[in-house]
Amino acid sequence: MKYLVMLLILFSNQARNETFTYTEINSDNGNIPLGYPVPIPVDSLTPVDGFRSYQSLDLRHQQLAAQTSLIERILIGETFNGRSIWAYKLSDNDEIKVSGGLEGSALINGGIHAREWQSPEAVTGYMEALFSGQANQHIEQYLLENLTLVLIPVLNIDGFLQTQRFFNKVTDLASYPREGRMRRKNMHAVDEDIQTLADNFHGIDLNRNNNPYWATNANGSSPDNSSLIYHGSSAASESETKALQQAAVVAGEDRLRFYTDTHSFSQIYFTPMTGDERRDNITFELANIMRAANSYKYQYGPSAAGSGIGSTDEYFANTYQIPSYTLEIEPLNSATEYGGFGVSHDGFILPNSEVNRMRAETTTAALAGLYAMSEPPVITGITILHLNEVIWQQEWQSADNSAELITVLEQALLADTPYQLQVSFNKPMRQVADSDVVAFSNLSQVQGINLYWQYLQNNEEKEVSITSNQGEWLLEGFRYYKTDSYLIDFQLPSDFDWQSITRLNLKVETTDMVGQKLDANPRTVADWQNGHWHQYENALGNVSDSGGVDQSMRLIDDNSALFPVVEPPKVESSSSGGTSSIMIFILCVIPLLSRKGLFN
Amino acid sequence: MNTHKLALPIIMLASMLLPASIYSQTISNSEFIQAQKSAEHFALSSKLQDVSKLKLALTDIEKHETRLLATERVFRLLTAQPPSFAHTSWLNSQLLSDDVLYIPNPDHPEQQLEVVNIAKQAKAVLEIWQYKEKAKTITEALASYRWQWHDFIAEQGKGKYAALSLALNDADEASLLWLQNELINSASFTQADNQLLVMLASLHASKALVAQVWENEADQYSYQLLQGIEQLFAKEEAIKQLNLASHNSQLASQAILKLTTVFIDDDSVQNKLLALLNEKDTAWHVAMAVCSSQHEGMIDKIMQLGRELSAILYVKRCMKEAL
Repeated sequence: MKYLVMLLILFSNQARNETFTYTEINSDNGNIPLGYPVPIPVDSLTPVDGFRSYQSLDLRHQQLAAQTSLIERILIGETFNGRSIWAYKLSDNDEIKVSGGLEGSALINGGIHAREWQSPEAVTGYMEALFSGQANQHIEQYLLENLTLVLIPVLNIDGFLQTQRFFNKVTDLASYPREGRMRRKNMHAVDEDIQTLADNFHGIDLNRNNNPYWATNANGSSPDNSSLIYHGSSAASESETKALQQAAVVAGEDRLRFYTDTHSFSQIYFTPMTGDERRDNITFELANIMRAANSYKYQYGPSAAGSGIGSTDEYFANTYQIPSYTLEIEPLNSATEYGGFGVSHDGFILPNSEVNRMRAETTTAALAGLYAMSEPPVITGITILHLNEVIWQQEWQSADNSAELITVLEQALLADTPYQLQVSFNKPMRQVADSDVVAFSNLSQVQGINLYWQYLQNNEEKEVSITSNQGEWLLEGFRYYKTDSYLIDFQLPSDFDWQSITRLNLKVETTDMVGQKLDANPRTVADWQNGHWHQYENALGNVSDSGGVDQSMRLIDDNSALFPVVEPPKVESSSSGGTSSIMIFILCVIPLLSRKGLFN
Repeated sequence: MNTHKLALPIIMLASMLLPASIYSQTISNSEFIQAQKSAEHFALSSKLQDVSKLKLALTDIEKHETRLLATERVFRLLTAQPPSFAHTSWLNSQLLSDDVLYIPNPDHPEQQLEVVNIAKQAKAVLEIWQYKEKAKTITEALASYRWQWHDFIAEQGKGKYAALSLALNDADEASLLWLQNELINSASFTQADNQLLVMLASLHASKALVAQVWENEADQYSYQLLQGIEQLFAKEEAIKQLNLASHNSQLASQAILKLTTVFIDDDSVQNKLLALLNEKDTAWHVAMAVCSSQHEGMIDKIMQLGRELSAILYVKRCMKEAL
């Protein structure tokens, strides 16, 4: 019996001792053929068709920071093994937006799980895109001048290095590899030798180490230190978790309005609901914007409020009431999507040949999300020209959280006379590709703007459409950024008579690049507060998170109210919000009951 | 926001119902590990030659998850042997299998992570058999020195590379050299892509093949080749190749990092780095590489530089900080 027990122990240890080698096609014993070349970390500063080593990624970040004052390298903590964890603050030196008002801030984390190599490459891609576009007078420059972005390219550096050290080796089950290339957790009390079995499964899952739902879900996290989802001894017990929290301080906690934790794989935006209906709706809309950037190939996965697993997106959603995501980068299911053999866990090993595209796609989506959250679109001024001479100029000049309409130049307009109207906004309003204005998915069109003159003449309300002509979003002669201004020819009708008009205003219907409508009341400057937009009025002048039509630009002002009906401010969505909440409750309960067999 | 009022709950419903619909095929992590261990215990190796016996043995395994894992193991073992008609037929029939084993995605337990997919794995085995069959043909052709690079380069599909790679693993040095020379001297040489060039050069170092890789537009193969260049060539030749690669803008920073981390003690390398430090496109790459190296010889040389380029100033500053 004694020998039998010894034999069993020996066999058990042998089973656990197995180390496998990833190969391209070699299927000899102990090999796991992927069906594509095994990515080897490359020491390169510039992006490669593949993955860069941690050392060269770190040097790359330093290189970008050294070359511009718009990127600052900030120490936010250290790993369990004492390595410095760096955050990068990307912003201009002031905290004020170009159109006035305080900048918001955003935080994006990368490399929390060691084996998810897509993540550090994606986050580095964001930094590289903003660096190379810092003076492009378009989205990238706009973001640097109107938002404070903090990026952590690699949080779990110890773990990431371990996976790169053993880039083609895993233990201990071929179908369920854990250590070496497939390490997920940090290196808390783990040595770097994958042959020493006792500690191979140890370490803390940094995405289970967070409040408010730390250790509250037996299925979602574990008290067993060998578990893949071990939550640690207490919330934020790990130095890496504390570093992440410090990054929020660097970003400016009171200005924070966006968080993403970047993972792979399964091609989805996971996000926790918090029960704050406005925040939850904005989170849904914002995910749609980021999904639209890549033709909706990424899915959307909200989880119900009131419970969680201890992940970082829950921490940021609930602590700051901001849109907060776990982005799982591609593939959707496995590397068979790229012609791979489909071995277990190969989704963590994106083929080298897909990395450049993945980096570009995730960058487009991230920048779209940041652009949306920087500020809602608002009209900032108009200019009217006649024979290339400015005859009318009006601007909203903002101070703190309010703005005043200033008429800089005024000259009466005449009927049947050719004019040009230039309408300016606070941000680039359209996507540009190869020097052409293009649509952004289905969220904005090349033109996508309707302009009308509205006037009260002899007590009769009249409205004349201007956009029967076709104007253009300006790529030259704009105000601050390409496409922040729209130029169009117009003429006023024959019966237009300046002298008999008591009110004349411009009506503007458009959206920004990602489909957000205008702040209908530029007099009150929109900002993010307490989980929603503040002073982002809709067409009726009511509180909203989605804006409306602008009619604020008055050339002749009769001092009548800007919005026809003065109502007490109310949340646009509140009328049916109860229905929505009940729907969510019912829809969450049905599948749970179904699983428990209560409907069988 | 109005248009999306119902979308959120609908998406939540869909995301919760989807895993429910495949729940029966999902097992917990611990059940999975247990099943994996059980699957290893079945003596299947001895039955590999006889498909009927194999099928029977697998059918006899009671637990579904253990059966799937045992089947996957059999597939793995089968790749090592030439298939009979019965083997191929059986694997082809498995292409239609909908047997898939999921475990909960550790990140989001309501989502499933696919760990075994019989149809996908059957397809992989069939592909590997095809590659091996093709490799056999290539080996025979090489044995009699019958080979036309033009035909190989013109052939479509990724299978040709896999087959060639398998064939070359067993090829002797003489055959390899002959193949390399046939390519270098053929009219098709400049049309050879990096995948082919790197495959041939990796098995037996060839200056001409490697130099052609640096000439071509960089892709995953050129980066991987450059990463291991010091294993392929002796020091002097490796430095030469790195100097060549540094002229390819996509490979420049990698070549510079390699020169700095591996060969910086060499005077010629230090002089090359100084030259590259004065060039607009490479100055910052050299600056970062040298700062990272903290090499004393380079410190002296850079401190003596008169030019005030920002990259040079950066190096001087980081050197001073290190001192």
